[in-house]
Amino acid sequence: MQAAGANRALAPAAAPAVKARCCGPARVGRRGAARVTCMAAGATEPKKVLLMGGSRFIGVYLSRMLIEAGHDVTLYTRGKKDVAYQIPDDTDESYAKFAASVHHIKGDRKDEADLKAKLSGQGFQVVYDINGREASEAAPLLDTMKDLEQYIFCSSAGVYLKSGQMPHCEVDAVDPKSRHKGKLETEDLLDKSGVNWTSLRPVYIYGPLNYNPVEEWFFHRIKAGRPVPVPGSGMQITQLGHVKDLASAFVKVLANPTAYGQIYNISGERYVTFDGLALACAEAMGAPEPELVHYDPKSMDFGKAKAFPFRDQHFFASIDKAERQLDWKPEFGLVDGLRDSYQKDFGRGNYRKEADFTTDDMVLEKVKGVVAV
Amino acid sequence: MAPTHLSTATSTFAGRPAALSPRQPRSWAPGSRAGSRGGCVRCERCLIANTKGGGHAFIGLHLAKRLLADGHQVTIMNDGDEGKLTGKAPFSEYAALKQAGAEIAWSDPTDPSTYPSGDFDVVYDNNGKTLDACKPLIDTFKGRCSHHVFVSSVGAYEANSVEPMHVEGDARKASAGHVEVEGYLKSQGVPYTIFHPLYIYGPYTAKDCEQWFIDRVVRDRTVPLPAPGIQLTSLTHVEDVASMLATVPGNANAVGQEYNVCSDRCITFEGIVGAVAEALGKEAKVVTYDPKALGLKKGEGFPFRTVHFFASSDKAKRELGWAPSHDFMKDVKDLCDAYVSSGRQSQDVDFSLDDKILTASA
Repeated sequence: MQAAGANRALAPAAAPAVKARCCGPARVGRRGAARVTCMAAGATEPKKVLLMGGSRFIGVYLSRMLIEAGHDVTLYTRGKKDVAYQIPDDTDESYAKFAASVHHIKGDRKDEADLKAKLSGQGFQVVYDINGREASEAAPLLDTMKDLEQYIFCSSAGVYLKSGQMPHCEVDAVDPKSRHKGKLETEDLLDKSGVNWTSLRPVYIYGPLNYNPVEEWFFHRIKAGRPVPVPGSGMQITQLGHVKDLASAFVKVLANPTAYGQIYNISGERYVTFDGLALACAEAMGAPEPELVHYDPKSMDFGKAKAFPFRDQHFFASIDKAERQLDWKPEFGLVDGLRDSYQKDFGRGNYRKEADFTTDDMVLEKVKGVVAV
Repeated sequence: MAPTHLSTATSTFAGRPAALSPRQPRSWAPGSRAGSRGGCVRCERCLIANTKGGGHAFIGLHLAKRLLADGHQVTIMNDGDEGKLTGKAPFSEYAALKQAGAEIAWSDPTDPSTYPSGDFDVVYDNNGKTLDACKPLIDTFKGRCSHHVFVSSVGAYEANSVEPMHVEGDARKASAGHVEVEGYLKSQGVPYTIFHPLYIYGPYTAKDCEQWFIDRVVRDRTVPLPAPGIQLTSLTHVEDVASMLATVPGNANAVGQEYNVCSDRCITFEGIVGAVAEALGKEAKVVTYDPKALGLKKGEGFPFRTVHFFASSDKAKRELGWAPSHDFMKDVKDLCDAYVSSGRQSQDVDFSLDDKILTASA
């Protein structure tokens, strides 16, 4: 994160957040209805912001960016992890400012009565729902905070119906049976509720502090000098989006009437093959290219274990809508982004999941008849 | 053959002209688009140097139609032998194009002495693929036209197996003929725009695209696909190609730029077979094979490149205000219906190479 020396012309932190109201009804959410704004676009005045979750990955960066931008930020978490801890992207100064500014409400959002008690009358203007999975988790927030100016939701590109035509676009059919259907139901609830809502659908997110072993999966193997087992031809195409680019997209939609009632795919600008990703990880690590071992996933029985971090299909989404409407553009290309992740996380000896090469060895034995030492 | 000089719109800019052009564009297209694009305040004189065959041959026809509908003057300068070509698509449609107001000339685009006389504002080169073929046109109109458009190809990008989608600005193959032309345009300080199309389908094409797949599915044949069969490619309707190229006249922002011309959707080889099968009410039967293992050369046994081959057209959307109106999945039913109603499924097709591949793969 940038040092806190960046000049901020916004309202002083001590001033109570002014409840900004757009001209027109407070709770217009339908597309087109809330486009009128009585403020100059882009001049976002400080908001009192609630982040549901926010202590692990996306929220870590988003909360910092919002505070840098002059907003009043509260994280609602169970408190299993401190909400303020220094990360590699912090400077001592920026961290000090963050730690002094960020607020915390400790609670379990699934405890509805507790949630209502803790949020009633708090005057939150905007909620970022980063960790909501089901519509039933969003409903109490809507019920409790009736004057919400905007509900910003972290959805998932996993909702798209598998299609012969790619990339996935926001207008495409969604899969009501997908394991992300809770996200879809949340989007529907938001749309029906009348609140100004915005939903961002990321693809695969990566970056320092990733708790999902996406890039970490490759880093473990390359570091160990092991072959990388890839299902099928390795020509399957996927897409990674850096967490910091996702966080800045979340900031761009705040109090942005263009984004009311809208869904945006958010990820990197380029798409990558499975094989290509393994090579890109090695490049980011400054390591030699790994051997790639392809196998037929249908011929393997891994039980419940996950042998590869990506779904075995083409899976990528167009970010054109976000780029055109939000004045947003990903800053990280793939190798730069992976390098950032490596240098600030795995490369420092930090990772979330221990290396487990069990399924790798099963593949190697099947394909090559030998197990790598 | 001198292009007919029709009265041009007043080009004074003391307020917007009441009508876009005093000339009524004689387009047969229902709902003429003249005047529908706010920026078209001046009738531009367009020359299209057009190729005599191949996948790009029908671009000239559709581009001409679109430019006429937009209120411009159009001259097509077609390469090849008029006698030999006017019997077949797309050139068989040129008579109707003339009725609509285009001038048609049969010339040798490499020989300036055969060019139509007169001046042109926009010169489209939809003919040459090498510097030898394109240089005469560039040199003749250098300084005489306000915009030189070169129809190049996505095929001249360097393949990238890590991030396969081609984006403007990516490395081009230095040895490719198209790339030599691009370099020449840039070095000559010519006000150019370069377009990179991909595979194109649509009415009056001179070269099969989706028909290769229909040939097989309609006859209940197994379709052999180069492994793994999930390669992505992009199929673009020729009207979308034409509409992008037609954004150029009068558009100074396009000068010095290059644009990929393609659908904003891509589809796998398997996906094409599946879509065609569904449209025909047939079963999709596919076998994948390794072309190298069977000793097949490039282009043998399959109509497309065997690697991922698709591109982004986001730049054109953002800068030219263009958007595709077609996508292959929406069009596939009509394409199959057109194939069937033409009676093509009764024609003989040489499946000997298919049979060789299928036998070897059994």
